[in-house]
Amino acid sequence: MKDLRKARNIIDALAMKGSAESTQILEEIGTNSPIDEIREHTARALVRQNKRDALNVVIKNTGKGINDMSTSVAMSTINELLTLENKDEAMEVLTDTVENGCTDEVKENARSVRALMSLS
Amino acid sequence: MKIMATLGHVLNTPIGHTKTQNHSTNPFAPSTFKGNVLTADVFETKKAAKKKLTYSTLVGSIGDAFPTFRKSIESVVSFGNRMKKGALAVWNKIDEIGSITVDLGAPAKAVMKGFNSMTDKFSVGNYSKYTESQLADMLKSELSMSVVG
Repeated sequence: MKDLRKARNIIDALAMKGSAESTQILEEIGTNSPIDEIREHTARALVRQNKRDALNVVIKNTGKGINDMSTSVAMSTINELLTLENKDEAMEVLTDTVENGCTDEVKENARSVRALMSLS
Repeated sequence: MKIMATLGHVLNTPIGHTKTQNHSTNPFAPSTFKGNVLTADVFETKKAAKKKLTYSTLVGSIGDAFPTFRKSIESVVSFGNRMKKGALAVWNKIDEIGSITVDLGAPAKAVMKGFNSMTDKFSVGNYSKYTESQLADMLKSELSMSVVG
């Protein structure tokens, strides 16, 4: 079992930057990683940024964030969304995804998460 | 009694035999010597000699019946003596050394410093000093190592 502490800390450092470039790097490297833990950590880091472009990555893309094939990754992302203090940005992205999602599955997932967030 | 006798027969031990000994005419019958060698003269008839006989029986019984116990007592006593000598020697050495003190805090601090520097090197705060492209390269190499490993 490889120690992923370094990788997780690098992801956190990139998330702290908050720049468009760092979000792009996290999307390209982090969310496309074959390791579930890395995808999960990246998705959570992107949600914590609570920015439009970062939230788009984990909500609108097939196979990433809430739409990830791994249940643990999807659930962790949803959990992170639910724990956001300011949910306005996330709700807007979810509403936009429900209306203009690329696939029915993405739309359905966004609808479910939006319902959960409105109840929380 | 029958059961006890049977049990005694099975164990090859005469259970209940002491009762018959009480009725015997031998005055020394209640104390079973079990092969202990008496150091007193049994054939002396004076009162003092009888006392001597009783004490010798008692001492002989203790000495022969509990050799392990006696050895344990001896070993404990010798151990105590050795510890006492050792403690005195250490105390004398400390007294001789006098001004020399051993600081155990310094090595512990050194170890902690090394550990902290090692963890700080890979902390989030330390990584945030790098640029996005540098971090991207670092993440790539770290993940490629992870995939290979």
